[in-house]
Amino acid sequence: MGGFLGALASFGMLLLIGLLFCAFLRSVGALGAQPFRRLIRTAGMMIGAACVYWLAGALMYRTLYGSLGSAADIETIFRTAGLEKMYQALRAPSWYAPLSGLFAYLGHGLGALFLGRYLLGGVVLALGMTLSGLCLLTARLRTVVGDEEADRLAFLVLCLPGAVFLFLPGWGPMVFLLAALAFYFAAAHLPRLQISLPPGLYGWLTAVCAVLSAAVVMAVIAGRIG
Amino acid sequence: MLGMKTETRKRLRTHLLIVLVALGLHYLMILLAAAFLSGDSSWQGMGYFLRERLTTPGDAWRYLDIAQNGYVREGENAINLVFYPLYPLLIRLLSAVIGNPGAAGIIISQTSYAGASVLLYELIRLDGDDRSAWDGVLLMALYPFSMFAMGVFTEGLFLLLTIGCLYAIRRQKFLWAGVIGFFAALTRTQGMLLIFPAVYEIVSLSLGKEARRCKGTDAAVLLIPAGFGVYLGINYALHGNAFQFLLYEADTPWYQTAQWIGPNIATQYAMALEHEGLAMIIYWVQIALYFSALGVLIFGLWKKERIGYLLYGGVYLGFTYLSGWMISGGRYMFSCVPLFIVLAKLRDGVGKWLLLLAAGMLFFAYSLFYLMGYSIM
Repeated sequence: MGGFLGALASFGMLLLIGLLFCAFLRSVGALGAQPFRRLIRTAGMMIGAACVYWLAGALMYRTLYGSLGSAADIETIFRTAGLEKMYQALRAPSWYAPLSGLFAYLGHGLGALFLGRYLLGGVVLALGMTLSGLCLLTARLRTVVGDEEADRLAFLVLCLPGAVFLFLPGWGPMVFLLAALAFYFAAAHLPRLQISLPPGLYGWLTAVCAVLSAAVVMAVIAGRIG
Repeated sequence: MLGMKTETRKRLRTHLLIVLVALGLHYLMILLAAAFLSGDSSWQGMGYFLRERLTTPGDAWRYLDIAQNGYVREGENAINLVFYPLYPLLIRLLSAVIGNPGAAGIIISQTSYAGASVLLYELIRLDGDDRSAWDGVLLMALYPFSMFAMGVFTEGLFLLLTIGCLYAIRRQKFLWAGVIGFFAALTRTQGMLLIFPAVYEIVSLSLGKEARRCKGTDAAVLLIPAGFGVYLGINYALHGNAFQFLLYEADTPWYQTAQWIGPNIATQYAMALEHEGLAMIIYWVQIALYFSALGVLIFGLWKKERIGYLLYGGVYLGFTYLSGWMISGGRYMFSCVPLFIVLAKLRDGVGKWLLLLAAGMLFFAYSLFYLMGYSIM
């Protein structure tokens, strides 16, 4: 419970910092009212999805292994060979792989700002990259398929099997950000598309993806993904 | 008085009433407690009880020691260096006149607190109505740990300087903000955090719709960190190490080191479970205050409160809760003024009335515990 309270306290402070920064951008006119609302919506969507993955992971871990010191201990819950290496690299960074090494150095630097909480630095960096990628993706999708469809598609991306890695330290968030950036510029001249899908299809797709995502999370926790 | 304009007379009457209410609530509490707890219902007995409870608990004796003997290089009182110099200096100056350091400390604290209450009213009044401004004064007076503003502690003085600085920033009088902030930074560590709202206000004025050009006097806000620089200079002059105070803080009896907020809150939880006797007066209080303050600041963002105030509140909250072994969180958060500003502007209704009721109850309870000698410090 203490660890959970601590994680909540950290999250709260980071949320406040983020909100204050957005409010500053709005106050100087660098962020209009509509973009601000969209940013809050996208951030809320991402944080909500991250919480679902985290709680699902904690639940699965607790069920599989009988005990969990703290639900906030993501280092114990989400553990693959790649993730373990990243957790170590965040504390003592090295260029063991191009993208992962870069992520480790950036996460280590951010962790130093958090007074030595390197894993927290890595998680915040991962979330920041994913949020940036999501904002770019959603912004371009809005011009192609409209507001409502853009939000749905963006949320679908967060449900895809393997999306859990978007919220964990590693090359995943970085690749997602780069891909979103590439899509933003590549799709700039796409004509407006009118998507007309049967009602309930998005819900069905989301449900299927959620189940498959859960299977991936379970595989990560059970050590079936290396 | 006869020659004054009506508006000025009205304002002075309001200020006087604020002082009476702010101090009056505390004196009511003190007298109630003294009558029941001192065991001696004579005025002399109650007076002795009050002097004892306002001048000796916690670190009060250290401020008096610094006022009388200054900072020392060696001996067990060398660690008094961790206490900032302005408040003891003022005690020394006043006690040279009245001859009693304890009384001097109390007078400075209570006068400062009275002034802070008036300034808070005027600050809230700039952007709100009369009722909100009064509610802000009441909420500050009824803060559960506001009793510290009455004794030999820095709370009263720091509140006066903090609110004064925020007022000057709000009025875009950056020279005054710098000067007042300089003295705030010489009163408590958190004083230097006033640079954040000051710089924010200047930057947002320059980049905002008005596109105000920077003036030379804007640089006066740099006096705020300069105040902290003076304190570092004192450290260096005494020990050859500008950060000697950090070494003392990390050692007995404080064991204070900076750690990220998450582990500190987790530690508070563990301490609450381990020390049940102190849980309700220290550890649970500090945990509840953190999340309450966070909620109030985010609520303030939603209600479009001035960003400068919320920025100061956020920085103050974050900085305070970086303390690795905190036992005075309730007292420290008394000076997180933006909380009173945000809550003062709650719509007048059941919610606000319940808040005032709850504040009154908690103020009574914790003031009584403090006067009874519980470990509230």
